[in-house]
Amino acid sequence: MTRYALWRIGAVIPVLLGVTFAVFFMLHVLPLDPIQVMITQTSSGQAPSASATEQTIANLRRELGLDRPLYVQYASFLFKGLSGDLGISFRSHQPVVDLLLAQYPYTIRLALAGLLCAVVLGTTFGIIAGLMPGSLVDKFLLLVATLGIAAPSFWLGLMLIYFLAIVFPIFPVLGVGRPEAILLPALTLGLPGAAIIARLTRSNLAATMKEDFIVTARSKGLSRRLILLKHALPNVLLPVLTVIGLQFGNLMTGTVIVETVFSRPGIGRLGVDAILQSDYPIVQGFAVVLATTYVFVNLIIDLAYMWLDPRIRYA
Amino acid sequence: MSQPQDMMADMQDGTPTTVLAIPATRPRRRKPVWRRLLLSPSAIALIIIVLLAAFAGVIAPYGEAQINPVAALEPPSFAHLMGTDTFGRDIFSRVLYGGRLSLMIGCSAAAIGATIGVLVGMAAGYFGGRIDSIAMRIIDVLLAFPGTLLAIVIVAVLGPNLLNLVLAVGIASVPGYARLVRSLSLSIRESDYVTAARATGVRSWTIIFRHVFPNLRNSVIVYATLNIATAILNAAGLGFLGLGSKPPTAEWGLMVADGRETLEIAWWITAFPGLSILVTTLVIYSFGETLTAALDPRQSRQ
Repeated sequence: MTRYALWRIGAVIPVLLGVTFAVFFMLHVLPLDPIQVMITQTSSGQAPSASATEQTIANLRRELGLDRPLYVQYASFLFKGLSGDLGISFRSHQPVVDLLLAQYPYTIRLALAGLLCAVVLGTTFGIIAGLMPGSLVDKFLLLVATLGIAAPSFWLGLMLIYFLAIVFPIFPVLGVGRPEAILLPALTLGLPGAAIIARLTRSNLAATMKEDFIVTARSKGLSRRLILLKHALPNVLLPVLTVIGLQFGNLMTGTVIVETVFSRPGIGRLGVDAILQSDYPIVQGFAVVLATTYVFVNLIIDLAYMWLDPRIRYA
Repeated sequence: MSQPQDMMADMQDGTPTTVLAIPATRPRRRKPVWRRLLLSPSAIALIIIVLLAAFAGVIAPYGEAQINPVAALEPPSFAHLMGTDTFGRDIFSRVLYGGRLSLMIGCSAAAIGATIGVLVGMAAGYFGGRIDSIAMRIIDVLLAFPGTLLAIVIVAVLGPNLLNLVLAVGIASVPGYARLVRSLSLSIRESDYVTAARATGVRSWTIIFRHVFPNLRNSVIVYATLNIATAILNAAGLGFLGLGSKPPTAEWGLMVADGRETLEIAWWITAFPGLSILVTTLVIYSFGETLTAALDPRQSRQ
């Protein structure tokens, strides 16, 4: 168990190295020369040749270390990144780390609220449907869940705004300061995950209720509630945990869209704006931060799974 | 695949058959499967969607970017089935043109993902060893980018436009194919006919294309069908963010974004393009399920 946990924690390192290298490689080697981009950015629309001579370009290149071999550049990027230096934004000339840190809490708060929505709605409706498979309620919930998976979240968010904030003004649309303003964005973000969790919970529960140990518990005369809580749910909800981990990744990128739909601040909005403005240092930081968060969340989920499932714990 | 069923069906008929008789029954059983597939509700719905999109130029009552300021922001009516937007463009016509674009994006992206993913997956699964380890480590790294982040980063690198969007969504779907095909190839590699082919000295890639690929083709077709729906959803999401085609192109994601500002007074600008995405992905998903049932009866019965 400890050995597996240590191995699982250790396995994060090569993945993180790979992720940082992939982002570094994609953004440093493939696109146009970063120097060209930078000069075009700073000289605000003028032709690069008009403001930058060969000499200044060469100087800038040496200054930024872009004349060094690629692996040296990557190593330096990695070490700087570890000490909290992700470069300077081309546009605002502020440190990328500061920009990301300012937006990160908004995104994490939204992602967690969305996750809460997904888990609560998903397990609740999944259990309801799973207890009466084949019934009308079950069929209706299955239909809603299918719609939830197929509906594009950016459209769902706007439709929720239209119906729940404009036609029937129940929820506020904007206003990041107010705590209730997160409800609609969280719902938008969480619904696709809720649909997936509900479907999984439903089919797991329906299958588990036919198992021998449930039949035994029932023949002992245990109440339905006790059977559900003590015998069925622990078996049903454990696999759901893995899906929650996978869903968290979708939630992280879902925030990019939800932040745009609801005009909320956040790391996703920052990243998309940076892409549209070719501000590569921010794009780089945005991708590394999101991927790293995802890798660590999955690590935590895996460890939690191991700790919760006795079959793995004592293996 | 359908051998046990054939034998059971024949035995119920009361005619004892040997294993040798099976090939003769094959053509007879093949036809109904495809007919059932084509006549299924989801297939008919899909054909209608494809026809509407393909003949957008003929069906659409107005041009894709035909501006008419006099008729701006009109609600749905007989003249404009889905209303008009701020420029007076007919939403219904634009939804049809957008459908053509979305289906092309979805299919191209799925084709890119399937081609690369299947080749990588077969090579990794068949050759094993170092090729497998290297391919799978790269796939692991790509899978560490959650959801559409990989597509977003690729668009960031290549620059936000339509062609790059297709490439990005396609490349982002490679890991899924590669993992599926690798695991299938691993088991096919162990089968006797592959061993036999190898023993007679058939070259590796010939074995891969003659013996491995035909056995995983059905699974790839089903996966690709679902992947088209996912690709349409992802591409529309990136289009919504402004990372795809540029206005005035009629693209569903972009059209939903267009309606955002006027949501309060003109819900139809946002509602119909989004509804089209929803209907299209739903139809493709359910067609995928029908396809699974037709191509792999064992799996669908579970």
